[in-house]
Amino acid sequence: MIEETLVLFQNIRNPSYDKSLKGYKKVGGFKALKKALKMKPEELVEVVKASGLRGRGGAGFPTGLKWSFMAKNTGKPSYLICNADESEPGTCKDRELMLKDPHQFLEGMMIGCYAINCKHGYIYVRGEYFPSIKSLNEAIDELYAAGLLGENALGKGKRLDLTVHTGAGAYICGEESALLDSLEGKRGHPRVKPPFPAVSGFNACPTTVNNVETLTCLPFIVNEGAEAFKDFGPENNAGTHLVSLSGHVEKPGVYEVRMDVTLKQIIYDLGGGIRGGKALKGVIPGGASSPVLTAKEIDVEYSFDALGKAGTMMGSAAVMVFDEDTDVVKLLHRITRFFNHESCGQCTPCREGTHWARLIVQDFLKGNGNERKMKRLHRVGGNMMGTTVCALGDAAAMPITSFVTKFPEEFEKYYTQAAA
Amino acid sequence: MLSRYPIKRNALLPLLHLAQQENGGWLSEESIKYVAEICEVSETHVEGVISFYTMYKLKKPGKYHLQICTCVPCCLVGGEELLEHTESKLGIHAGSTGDDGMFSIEEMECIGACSFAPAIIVNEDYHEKVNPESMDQLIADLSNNP
Repeated sequence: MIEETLVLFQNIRNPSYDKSLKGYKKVGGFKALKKALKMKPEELVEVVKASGLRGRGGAGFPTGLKWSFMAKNTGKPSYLICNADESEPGTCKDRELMLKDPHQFLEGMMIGCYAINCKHGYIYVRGEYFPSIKSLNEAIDELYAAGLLGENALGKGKRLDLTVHTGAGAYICGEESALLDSLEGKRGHPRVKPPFPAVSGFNACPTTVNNVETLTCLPFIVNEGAEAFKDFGPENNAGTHLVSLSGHVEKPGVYEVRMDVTLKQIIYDLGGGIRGGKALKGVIPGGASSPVLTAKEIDVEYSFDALGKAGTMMGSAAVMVFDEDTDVVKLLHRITRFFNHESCGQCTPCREGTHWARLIVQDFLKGNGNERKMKRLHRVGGNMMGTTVCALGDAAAMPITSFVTKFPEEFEKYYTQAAA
Repeated sequence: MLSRYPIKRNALLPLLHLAQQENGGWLSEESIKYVAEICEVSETHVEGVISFYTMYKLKKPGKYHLQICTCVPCCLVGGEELLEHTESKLGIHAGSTGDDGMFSIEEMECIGACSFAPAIIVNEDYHEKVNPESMDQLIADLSNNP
């Protein structure tokens, strides 16, 4: 039986925790920022590199390394943008952090700003997150009133401002370069890279985009040191992380775990197993774009590397569980509808591919499926892989090809039964 | 708001939100023109931005805008049935507003409340673990508060 390991959720799991600035300071809040300000920014980047922190938004890119790419001495301002556009289906962890412990996250953001010499950071929150936006704005007001933001935030005469920026409902804006276009006041179209944001990002200035959870790890790393963070989890998968568990489990919720627990333990120990004593059919392990796993494949370590080896990915750590009664074709149809709706339309393979994939899966549901269409689904998926400016093409393709490969009998059932 | 951004155009999305809020939940031609002027961009640019994002409305929504999520996690635990139930209860389809202007329904892609599914947003408030019965109760409560 595994239990949660509480680092990011230490305050949130305490029922009497007061999330105001006063309450956060009472539990040792803003000590890390103070400590960080005594270090040089370059030293801070090295500490984060040494901690092995990898981005929690989906790609798992090492955060310290990302920071070190920032172009220096350009004569332009540097920007830290927080990606709080949490919109990968299944993911609801960042909203917990912003809603229930905003100051811990904001302290992390301020540490990040100091590390990359940013004087004005933006938090790009998805527009539908009204309660989180309110929570952040109230917390930021408290910080300004207390002098922790503003004129002398990072030491005498060293100004820091933070602004909450609201998105307006577009999944693609979670992709960092689309997010930057959106923040600039445009349609959220992903950019061709290079140049990478570290060289030419927000308003063509050096920019780093980090996820909410990633930044929230920073106070712990600064307080306790890189080694303490590394001690959680297996090599190259440092720290605890938040798993959003949903679907047919007894106890859905957001859980904080080390990365050496297995997917099976998360579902059965923390999630209480499958709802109503049903059998498990499969799991989408890392957001709607991750390749699906069958019930037999869930005894796998829930880490970036182990899931990668298992042919899928951890993505944003959104685990969606479905039981034996689930119609897999209908489920895939819902996923293809999502990607069809959210494709920005810039690249032909994705714009057309997501549309046709949806129609072909729909054909099966209408009793018009056949073996040729199974192959066509494979081909449509394959044609989107790696052929688009951003990863949405891949994200849309992976569920299609994995569902057809892992549950072929479910698709066959539709046309053999229709024929009978 | 403009002072928070290096260039005026950067404030376009938040200003559109503000304009929409002040105009009763939708963007009229005048509000588009006004925002374009403030941000120093063309109206065509603003219209292009509006059509890209789902949260900007060009028609007035109901007093209570029911945003029902049917994306993957909600769909697994009854989100689509909840949408159908609400549509037949109110006699309107997703994407439309009732004749009395009280309710409008919108089918949502993931609203980020997946561990608390099925979830809906009414105007700006989240309601979680909603089922047809609690939806009926909610509609009754809102109807009593025109």
